[in-house]
Amino acid sequence: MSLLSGGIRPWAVQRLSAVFMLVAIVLFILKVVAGNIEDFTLWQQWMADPVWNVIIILFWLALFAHAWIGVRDAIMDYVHRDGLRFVVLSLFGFYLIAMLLWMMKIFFMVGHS
Amino acid sequence: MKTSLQKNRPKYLDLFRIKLPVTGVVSIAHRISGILLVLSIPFWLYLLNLSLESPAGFAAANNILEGFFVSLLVIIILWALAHHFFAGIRFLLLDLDIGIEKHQALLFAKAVFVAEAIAMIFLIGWVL
Repeated sequence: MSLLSGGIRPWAVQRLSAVFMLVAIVLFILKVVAGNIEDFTLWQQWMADPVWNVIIILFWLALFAHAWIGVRDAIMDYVHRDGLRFVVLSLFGFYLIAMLLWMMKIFFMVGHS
Repeated sequence: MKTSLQKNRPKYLDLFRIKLPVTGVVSIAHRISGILLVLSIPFWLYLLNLSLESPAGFAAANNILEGFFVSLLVIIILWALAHHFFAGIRFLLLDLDIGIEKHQALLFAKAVFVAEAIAMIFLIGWVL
């Protein structure tokens, strides 16, 4: 995944994902203020709406890419021993993959249960 | 040969004696808030899963969020989000060379804290 490792590309992905999430968060706030989390039916309808479903899944994907690049940079700044760095990076990678699968399970199932 | 001046040069590794400029505080808080947000992912996914399962699950998720310690935790995570959000905007503007000159940089960094303080007033009111 050279998109998410060294060079200019992770830098660009970090900024693109940031801009996407900034816009999405403003949209989420507007929906929340409009009362879309007041009861179960409205909440589930919002999350199951095809357009929002796509926006939210893209939001989570942007978040996972952003989290990977950001935490990877932090780990590389503070963990200097090669072996330990490999272990910490791997554990964090597994954590994000687990979260990604859980997110997909939740949002692919919305409205089908 | 070392002079006495060099020998006595202070090493400010005592974190409480290092005075970061406000821009530096924004920067380190951006990193800390980002790590907090990453660690909060399972908490939010758990609540999303529960709240979308059934009306009973939705009520259960609401109940969890009303607990005292959970409210406290949510406020801390929302602070992290607010800081990451506004500091992130500042860093994006810096990429566009906006607010990069020293005087402006300090001003923008302070604006980040003002904006997040205002956001927190609304968010804390909303959570409680």
